[in-house]
Amino acid sequence: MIRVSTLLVFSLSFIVLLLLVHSASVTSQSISTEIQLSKVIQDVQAAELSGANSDETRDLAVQLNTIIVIHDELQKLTPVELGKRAQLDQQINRTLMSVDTQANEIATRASQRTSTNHLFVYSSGAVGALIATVVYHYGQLLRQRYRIKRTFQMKIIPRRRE
Amino acid sequence: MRRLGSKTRAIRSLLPIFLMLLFLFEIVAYTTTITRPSEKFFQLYVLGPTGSAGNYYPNNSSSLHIGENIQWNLGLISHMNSLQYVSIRVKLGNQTIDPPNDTLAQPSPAPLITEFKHFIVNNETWAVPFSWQITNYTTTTEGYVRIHSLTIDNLTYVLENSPVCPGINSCNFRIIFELWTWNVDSNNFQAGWSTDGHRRIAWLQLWFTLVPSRQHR
Repeated sequence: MIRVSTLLVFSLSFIVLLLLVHSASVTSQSISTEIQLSKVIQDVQAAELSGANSDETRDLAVQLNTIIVIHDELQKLTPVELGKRAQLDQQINRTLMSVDTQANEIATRASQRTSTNHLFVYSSGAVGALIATVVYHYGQLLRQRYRIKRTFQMKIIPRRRE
Repeated sequence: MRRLGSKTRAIRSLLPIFLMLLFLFEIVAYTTTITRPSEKFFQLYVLGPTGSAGNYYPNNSSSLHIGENIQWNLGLISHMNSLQYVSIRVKLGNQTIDPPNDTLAQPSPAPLITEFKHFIVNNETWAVPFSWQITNYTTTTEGYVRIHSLTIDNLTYVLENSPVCPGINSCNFRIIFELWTWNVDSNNFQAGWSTDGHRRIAWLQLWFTLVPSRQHR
C-alpha cells in the first residue's frame, strides 16, 4: 500500500516538474520569437536598402504593429488560459512569417526596379550625350555656312585717305 | 593612301566631343542615383493638451492633487532612413535620482512605470496621447512621501520601488520619458540608438509637486 506522504511527495514533484517544463518552454518560445523578430526587422531594412518605397514599408509596419496589440493581449491573459495563449502565440508567429515573406518579395521587386531605374538613367546619359553631339555638329555646320555666306556678302571698300 | 570620306572625318572629329559629353552626362546620372548619407536621428517631444508646448498642467500649476487628470501628447519622429522598433519608457523620478546620461548614453535608474512600443518607418510621426493622474501616495511618520500608484490611460500602475521624498513641501517629482530602440544583434531593447558608431539618447522630463490633501496630512 502506498503511503500518503509518498503520494504527496510524488504529486509535488510532478507539479514542480510540470511548472519547470512549462516555464522553460515559454522562455525558449519568447527567445525564439525575439530572434525571429530581429530577423524580420533586418529583412524589412534590407528591402528598404534595395529601394522599397515608403508605401510598401508602411504596409509592413502596420502588420508588425498588430503584433504589439496581440502581445499586449497575451500579457493580460491569466496563466490558466493556455488555449488562448497558444492561439495568440501562433497568430504572432504567422504574422512574423507573413511579414518576412512579404519583405523578401518586396526586396526582390525593389532590387529589380532599382536596377531598371539605374539602367534607364545611365542609358539616358548616353542618349543625352549623343543628342548633344549631334546638336553640336549641326551647330558647327550652321556656323560654317553662316561664315561662308558672310564672306561672300563682304564688300571691298577702299579706305579713304584723309 | 586612301582619302577618308567626309562622313568618316566628321565622325572622327566628333568622337572626342561625344566621349567628353558622355563622361559629363554619366557623372550627372551617377549623382542622381547614389544615396546621400544623412544623419540618422529621432525627435522626441511632449506637448500639452492643446497640442502646443505649454499649459502642461491644469491652471498652469504643476502642484497636483490626487485624482487630478493631466493630459499630454507624446510624439516621436523618425529620421532613421529605415524601419525601427521603438519603445517610449515612462519612469518616475524625484530630485535626487539621476536623469539619463547624455554623455554616456545611459538611461535613468528611476523605476519604470510603463512603456509604449511601436514599429515606426522613416519620416513617420508617432503620436501617443498620454493621460495620467496620481491615485495614491502616502506620507510616513518620518515625513517621507512616496507615490504608490498612478493611472495612465485608464490603467492603474502600482509602484513598488517608487522614489521617496523627505517632505511634501520640499520635493519635486518628475515623469521621465526615454526612447529605447530594438537592437537586432542583442535581440533586446537598448537605450537610444546607434549612428555612425556613436550612441545617442533622447529623453524628456516634466516636474511636478504634490499638494497635501486632508487625508495625507
